[in-house]
Amino acid sequence: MGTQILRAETEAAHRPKEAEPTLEFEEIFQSQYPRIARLMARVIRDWARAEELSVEVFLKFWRSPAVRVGNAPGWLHRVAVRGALDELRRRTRSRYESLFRLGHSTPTPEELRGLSEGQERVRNVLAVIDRRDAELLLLRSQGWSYSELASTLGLNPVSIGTLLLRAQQAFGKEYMTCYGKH
Amino acid sequence: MENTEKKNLSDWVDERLAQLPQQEEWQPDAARALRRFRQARRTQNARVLQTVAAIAACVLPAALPKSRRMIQRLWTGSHVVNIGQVSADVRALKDGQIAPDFALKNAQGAGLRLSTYRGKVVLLNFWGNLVPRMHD
Repeated sequence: MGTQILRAETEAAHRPKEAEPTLEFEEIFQSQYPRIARLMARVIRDWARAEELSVEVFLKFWRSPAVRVGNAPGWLHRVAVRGALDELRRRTRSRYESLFRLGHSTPTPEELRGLSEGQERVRNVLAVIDRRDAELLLLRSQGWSYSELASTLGLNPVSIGTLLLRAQQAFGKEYMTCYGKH
Repeated sequence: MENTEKKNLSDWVDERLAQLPQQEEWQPDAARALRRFRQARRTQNARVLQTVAAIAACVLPAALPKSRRMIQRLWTGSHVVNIGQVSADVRALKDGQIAPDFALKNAQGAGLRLSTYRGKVVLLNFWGNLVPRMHD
């Protein structure tokens, strides 16, 4: 029995530390995962896919040891927003392609109504405008301050106001072009 | 742009973005996600190991002199080329004539000479190792 315990301890000591997440990493995972998953679900409106993409975000986080000692939550949120926007762009593109491609039957009123819902309008516009503008708007709408935006996105704090205004203008212009004033 | 216009635009965009629900009612399962994360890590590690093993399997034989020679022999079929050099003389032979002597290396790299088999029946089999059918 004693030999078995000793062997188990020896094996545990020699097991590569990199193979399993560390305690510190697990703490970050437990605390940040729900926020990251909700943020992604907010953008893509799909809980199952949001879970998958969130795990991918943490895999990227695991592969980047340098960012683990810095502002981990900020980095995770930025990567999550980018991942969600990429997914949104893929979905928007494939949905329009499937609705309007040659040989496809005419879209049903239900499908068209789905496209015109307020939420979907916002998602479609976010999928089309410049990715940095969309990132800024989404993180700002998550309640982030100017200084948090600047440090996380690596921008000059002085220029955040201007960049945010440009992002809002780009959003408004695209929205008006697609859906009119309402 | 006037400050009022900026404020109006900012409020209008905020209103639009507020239409995206915050998903507060959803409680993502962090424990299950951590299990998926570990599984994904293991899969990734296995892929990396497979890739490294595949690269090593390709590079190592070429790096070692003995295996490199063997690869070159297999690739160029050097011992068969030697036979090709004497094949013209062999083709010109008539029944009853003595075969011209020739030397070549066998598959193991050892030299051999036809004259050492004088008095014995020798079967010459001409084949190419690059033709898959010949391996059967």
